[in-house]
Order: sequence, then structure tokens, then C-alpha cells
Amino acid sequence: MPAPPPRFHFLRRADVLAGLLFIAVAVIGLWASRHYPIGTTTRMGTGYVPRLLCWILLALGALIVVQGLRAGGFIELGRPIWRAMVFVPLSLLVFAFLIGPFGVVAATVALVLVGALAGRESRPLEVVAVAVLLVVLTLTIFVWGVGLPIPVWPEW
Amino acid sequence: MDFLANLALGFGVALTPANLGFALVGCLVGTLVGVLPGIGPVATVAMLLPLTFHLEPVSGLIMLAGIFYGAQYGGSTTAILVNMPGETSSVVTCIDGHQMARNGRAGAALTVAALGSFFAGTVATFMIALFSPPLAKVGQSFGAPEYFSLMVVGLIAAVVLAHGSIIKAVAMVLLGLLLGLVGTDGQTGGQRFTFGITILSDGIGFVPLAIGVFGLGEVIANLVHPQQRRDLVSSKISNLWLTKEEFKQAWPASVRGTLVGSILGVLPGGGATLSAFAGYVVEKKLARDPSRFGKGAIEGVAGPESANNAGAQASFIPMLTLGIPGNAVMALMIGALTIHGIQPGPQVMTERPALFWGMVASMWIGNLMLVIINLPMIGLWVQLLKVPYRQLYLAILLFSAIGVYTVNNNSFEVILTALFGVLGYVFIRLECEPAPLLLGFILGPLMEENLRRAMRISGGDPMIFLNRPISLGLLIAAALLLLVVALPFIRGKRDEVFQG
Amino acid sequence: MPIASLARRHFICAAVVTAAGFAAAPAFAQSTWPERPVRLVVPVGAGGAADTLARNLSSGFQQIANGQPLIVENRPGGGGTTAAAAVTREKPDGYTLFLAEVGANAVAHVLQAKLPYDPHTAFTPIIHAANLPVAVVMKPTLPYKNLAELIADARKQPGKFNYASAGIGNWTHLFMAYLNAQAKIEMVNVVYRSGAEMLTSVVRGDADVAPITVSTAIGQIKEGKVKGLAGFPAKQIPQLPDTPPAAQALPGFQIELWHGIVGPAGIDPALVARINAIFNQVLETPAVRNAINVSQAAEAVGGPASQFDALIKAELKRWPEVAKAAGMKPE
Repeated sequence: MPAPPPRFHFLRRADVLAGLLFIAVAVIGLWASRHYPIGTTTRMGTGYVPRLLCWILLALGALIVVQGLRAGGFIELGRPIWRAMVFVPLSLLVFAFLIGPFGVVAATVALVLVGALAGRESRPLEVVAVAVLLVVLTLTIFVWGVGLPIPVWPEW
Repeated sequence: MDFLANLALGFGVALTPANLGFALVGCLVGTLVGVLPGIGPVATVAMLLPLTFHLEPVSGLIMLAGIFYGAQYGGSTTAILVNMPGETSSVVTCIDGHQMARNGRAGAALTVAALGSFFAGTVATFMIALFSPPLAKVGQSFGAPEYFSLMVVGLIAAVVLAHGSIIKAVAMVLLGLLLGLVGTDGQTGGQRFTFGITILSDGIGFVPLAIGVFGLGEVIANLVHPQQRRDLVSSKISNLWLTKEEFKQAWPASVRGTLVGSILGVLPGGGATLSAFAGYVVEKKLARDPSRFGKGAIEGVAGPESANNAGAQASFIPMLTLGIPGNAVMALMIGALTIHGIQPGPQVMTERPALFWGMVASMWIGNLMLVIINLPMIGLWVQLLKVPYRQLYLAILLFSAIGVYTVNNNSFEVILTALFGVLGYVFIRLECEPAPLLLGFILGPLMEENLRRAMRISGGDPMIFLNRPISLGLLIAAALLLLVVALPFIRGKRDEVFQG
Repeated sequence: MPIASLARRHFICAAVVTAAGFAAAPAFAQSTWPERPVRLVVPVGAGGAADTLARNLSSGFQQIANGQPLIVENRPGGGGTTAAAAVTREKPDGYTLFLAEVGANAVAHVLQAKLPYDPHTAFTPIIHAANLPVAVVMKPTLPYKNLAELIADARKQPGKFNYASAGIGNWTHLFMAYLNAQAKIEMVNVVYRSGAEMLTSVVRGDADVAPITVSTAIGQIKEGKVKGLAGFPAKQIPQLPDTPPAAQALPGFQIELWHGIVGPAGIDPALVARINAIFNQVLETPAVRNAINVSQAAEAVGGPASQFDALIKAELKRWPEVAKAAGMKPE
């Protein structure tokens, strides 16, 4: 006999989750725009179009959820997902925070190191080599070649 | 105005060694810049603008124009190889172009992009030469109501971009619309969805959104499911050139795309961007088997690529003939002309024919140069794909970060990109398509703005959209398009009912 | 390739020196200012009239200023306040300057709720660089021969006429609000995104009138696509002989779209005098003067820093009133 389906399995369907996502966005939108002046149809205020769109999105989201509940399909969630979903954006965040005060060299190295954590196949020696190569490429092509005005070294 | 004599004059100017050199520099820099996602032609042209002070006006413009086209070509390269749109108009190329790469046909995709663009560039050059004044008039006759109606057509067409569930596509368009509305409401000065964050008052940038959703989402997906990468790395990359079959499919698409692009590009305000999307929609609707689209249909690359190149060149027309910039790059060109003491406007064609026709001739030369530069490089690019993904993705991440950062020297946008990357992956897993979202994002604010402007102009009378012929025509086209889109859906439902 | 290496040279210079230069910029170096490249931050995107002005200044700067370049940095956004705020945070050592104009420097505090700087105190005025003359253009299908006739009709029918502007709170909006208030008329504001769009709108006939800088409008005026109805400066605009000053219809009416250079607050007065002197020289060089007065159809001004200070103070009194009276407020 097959293993019993995990809890809430009916929620783990692509369309159901998608619909919920849309509903969530619509609700946030409606909440955020609750004080915006609406105006009239001929002289629309700030809130007219956004709120209208949110309501339509809400309705569509509901429809999609219903569609999803009727169809099949099941999404696998697992550990590799979280690694990639965390470390890829994290690598960019690290870059964003470091480049201003520390320059592009430091930011690049940090991005590569953090980014390497996102994949399952990364080998430490390779990662270092890639980091060095990318720093060199960046400096040659973008800083010296094209002349982009980005901070290179830390402000000491 | 003898057409041949003008062209001869133009080529005489453009073919001097100095000007050829400038064109080459421009094209090279432009390609490099275009390949880097994010930093687009606008920033590069702005950076290199001061250098043109010391040059002859024609030479300066030729170089700047070369950068502009080069960036277009470069943008397609990354779109095809790594699903990263180099700039707005390459977004559409991602859809089928990247799929072609995944099918092992990266070389063919790149080739068709290059050749299609060259063809479009050649034709567009002729169109500019012959039809500048009347085309410019067309551009001028678009007011707020006409733009609104055009956007409506565009948004309905956005649904066509999708190859999956139509309801979800519509929802994505709406989501894109909402994201596009974040920022200051231009018509009243009010803040929308900015949650008090000042940087957001200028809205969410297109670059972080596109790179995050398309490029980073793809990276995350590839890391999570290495076996589904259907590589790029492992599959044999057959034949870099187009097969006969592919060529036969591609060239009509290219012709159609060129036509679409030439017309749309003349419209100030995003005409060139719309060109690529329109080109794709036209191809999909005319294809005998639309289900191929989204899986690597070569028309899905040839059409939009030709359209966007034609559109980009056509966008020079309002600038050169009327002195009205169609987009940011054109505004820069006008700035460059003014610095040289030339007032762009209708009189430029008559008072400074050498400048005007020299530029036109140089456009063609620029296109030729770009094909010459890019075709041999295709082999190089394809080799790049053989780099093991575990190293390649790090480079992709870095170039995305730098690209986004350099657009405005702004770390916040890099943060946004990271967030959109997560969202992009979520979309992939939930089978929501990002292309309609992007189109909604671009068109939504424009549509809303023009709707409200039109209402102000007419004093609150909604009949203005129907009273003006162009607007009326577009709205009728929109209604027809809606029917065409909805028809299979309705018919499907009816079939369901009858079968049940 | 000479061009690429020039860029490289500039930017290596800027990058290396900027990194080192945050260390110290002693105030007593004012007599030798500038010793490294100077940044001029511009609150608009590249290609607009103000940007062109900055670049014109930049083209004449290097030969007068110890061979150091003036690097134009575009930072559009927030109606000019993004750039302004960034400059207020820099050191007052004369190496970061700002192209000041009415938006960021005279009226932003009334239009935005949380402005991170106070325009009254956050800047050191240095020099009034130029005035960009603005004219009201009118769509050719309207029969009025001058501003007075238009005003007369507008008084009879409030809300009948409309004008194009480039944004709520933008100078185009402010100037027209002022005109409406002085003429006691009521016109509807149709908002666009740029001067080019505004002009196209008038040519198209969607907007009845619009305030446009002469350099942007002159092509269309000469072609007869729009009519130059009235000029905002007090005196006749030389490039538009058929466009009388608005003061003819409204005595005492005058507006200048001024642009000048300021630095962060707290610049040593001796350094201010030195920077002022350099820029005055730049404005006197024939090439720059010609570029501004002829190509841009503008008016190079110059003069001492105190004069610019007085101007800004006067504008700080004038425009917030206009904005408030027109109902512009932070939302």
C-alpha cells in the first residue's frame, strides 16, 4: 500500500499555491491602498486603478485556487530547494551591502563565496579560482575597459 | 531630394576611415555592454557622451549610435544563453531563444538573431531614407487616447504570450500591472505602495525585475534540479548554423518582424520595446502550430529580433526629423547634437544633409559591423556553455549584480533583484509565466497614465477614445484580438459541456 | 584607440583618487582648488536642457581649472531631491557640487513630506550659472494673437483651457500655477513626463498651451507647428522676436528658470570665492558662452556668490507660496 499522503497535500498543488499567492498580493494591495483617494471615473484618484486591479486579481486568484483543487499534481519540497533559494539571493544581498563601503573586489569575492553555498556540487578550490578569475575579469573589462564608475577598493 | 544622391552623400561621410573607426568602437563597446545584463545603452551612452565633445558631430553620433545597436545585439546573446534579458527588448527573446539553447540549438538561435537583426537593420535603413517625413507624421499623430488604445491592444496580446493556463496568464499580467504602479502617481503626486521607502517613490526598476525573475529564477531552478537542466552542457550542440528547415521557417518571420518594428518604432515612448513583443505575438498567432512556441520555435526568435532592431532604428526617426526623442537614448543624442550647436528638428534634413544622411548610412554600416563581429563569436559563446554549471552560475550571479548596480549606482536595486529572484523561482515551480508579468509591468502604468490624461484632455468625456479614428481603430483591433484569444477557451468549455 | 584611453584615464583617475581622497581635504587648499576631478551632480537625466548646460560648463572647465575635469553625474529621481540629498551628505571640500534649480532648492520641502534636507540651510550657494528662458507655446488652431486675448477668454470660461506640464510640483506646473493665479484664470493641468512629450501634445492639439524651454521649442515654433505666445522672462527673448514678454499682458510678471551651482553647507568662504572665480571664467570663455547663449538659446549669467544666495532666498519665499496656493501638498 502506498504511503499515506503528507498533511495538507491538497494545498501542495501548483495552481492552488499560485492562486493563494495572487490572493495574498491582492489583499496586501487592498490593505496598503486603503487610504488612497479614489476620485471619480472621470477624474481618477491615486487609488482608483490600483484597487480595481486588486479586486480583479483577488477574484482571479480564487478561481485559480478552485481550478487547482480540482486538478491533480503535487509539488515536491525538499532541502536542495532551500539551499538554492536562500543562498542565491543572499549572495546578491551580500554584494549589495559590501560594494558601497568596501568596493567591488570585496563584494565580488563575497558574492562568489556565498553563492557557492547554493549549489550542491561546489568544490572549494574551484570556488576560490572562480572568485579570482571573476575579480580579474571585472576589473579588466568593466573598470578599466568600459570605465564604469564603480567603487573598487574599500574607503580607508 | 534625390534618394540615390542622398545615400551617396551619406555613404561618403560614413565610409571615411575615421568614421568607420568610430562606428567600430561604438559597436564593440555596445556589444560588451549589452552582454552584461542590466547596464544598458542609456548608461553607456551617457558615460561616453563627454568624449564626443571633441569629435565632429557626425562622428560622435555615429559612435553613440553604434553603442545603441551593439547593446541590442549583446542583449540577445545573454537572453538566449542564460535566460537573462540584456535589456527590455530582449525579454521576448528569452522565451523561445533560451529554450532553443536548451534543445542544443544555441548556435542556431544566436545566428538567427544576428542575421534577423541585420536584415531588419538594412530594411529599416531604407525605410528611414525613403519615408522619414511621413513616418514621423505618424508618430506625431499619437496622443494620449491613441496610446491608451494601443496599450489595451498590447495587454490583450500579453495573454497571447503565454503558452499555459490563460487565467494564470491574466493574473500575471495583473500582478505586473500592480508592480508597475508602485511609486509616485504621476498625475497627482501621491505615493502608491511605497510603504514609506523613499527609493521606491520612483518605482520599481525594470532591470531588477527582469533580471531577478528571468535570470536568477532560472539559476535557482537549475541548482535545485540539476538533472532537469537538459544541458547546455551535456547535449551535443549540433551544427552552429541554421538548417535548411530552420532557415525556411525563420526568414518570413524576420520579414514580418521588420515590418512590425518599423511601424511601432516610430511611436515615441517605448515603441521599440513594444516592437519585440508585438513581433512575437504576430508570429505565434500566424503559426500553423502555435504550441511550438515557448518550447524553442525559431520564429519566436527571428520575429522579435527583427522587430526590435527595426524598432530601434525607427526610433531615430522622430529624433532626427522632429527633434523629439522617442526614448532616453534619443534624448541623449539630442543632447549630443545640442552640445555641438545643432538644433535637432525638421530643418536638420535640409540644413545639414551631410549629418543626416551620414547617420543613416552609418546605421547600415553599424549593422554590418555587428554581424561581422557577432557571427564568429557565436562559436565562442557556445563554448562558454560548456563550462560546468557549478562554475558558470557564479559568473552569472556576479554579472547580474554588477549590471544592476551600475544602472543607478544603487545597492537597493541589487537587493530588489535578489528578492525578485526568489519570486522568479516561485513562479517557475508554480507554473506561472513571467513574460506576461513583464509586459503588464511595462504597459500598465503607461496605459493608466494615458487613460487619465485623455480624460483630462476631453474634460471627462469618455467618447474621446471612440471619436478619434486611430484610437477607434485600435480599440476595434483590441476587441477582435480578445475574441480570437477567448474563442478557443469558450469553445473548449462548450466541448466540455457537450462531452459531460 | 585614443577615445577609449581618454575615458579610461579619466575614470582610473577618478576611482583611484576618489578612494584616496576621502582621507583628507584640508580647507587651506582652496587657492589650489581643484587638485583632482570635480563632480557636478545633476538632478535630471542625461539629455535634458539642464544636463546640456552642465556638460557645456564641463567642456570649458578643464583648461581653466588646473587641468582637472568636471565630471557630470546624472542622478535623476524624486523631482531632483535624490541628487540634492546625496550632495548634502558629502564633504564641503569643493569636490562635489550640485546643479541647483527651483525644484530641489526652492520648493521641494513643501511638496514632499519627509525631505531629508532643508533647502534653506543645506547648501552653500556658489554661482548663478545661467537662465534657461521659457516661453508659453500655444497650439496653432487657437485664434489668439497674444497672451492677453487668451487670458480674456479664459476668464470667461474657467476650466475650458488646459496646459501640459511635466509632473506635479515640477517647474512647469509651478510656473503655470503662478500664471493662472496672477491672471486669475483656471486652466486644467494635463500631466506628462517630459518637455518633449508636452511639446508633442501641443503640436498634436491635445494641450492648448504649455511652458517649454526655448531651446526645446524653437524648432517647432519656427516651423509654425506651435505659436510662441509669450515669454516668461521680463525682457524680450532674442531668439523669438514675435513672442513678447508675458509682462505685456500681466504687468510686473516675470519668471526665470535659473540654474546655478551650489555645494554642501559649510564650504569655507575663501574656497567659495575661488570656485566662483573659476566658474565665472568658464562662463566667459567664448566657446562656452556661445554654446550656452546661442546653441542652447539660454543666457549665461555668472556673478558673485552673494548674488546667487540672494536669488535663492527670494525664490524660497516665492515658490512655496505659489505651491500652497495651488493646492500642491505632500501626500
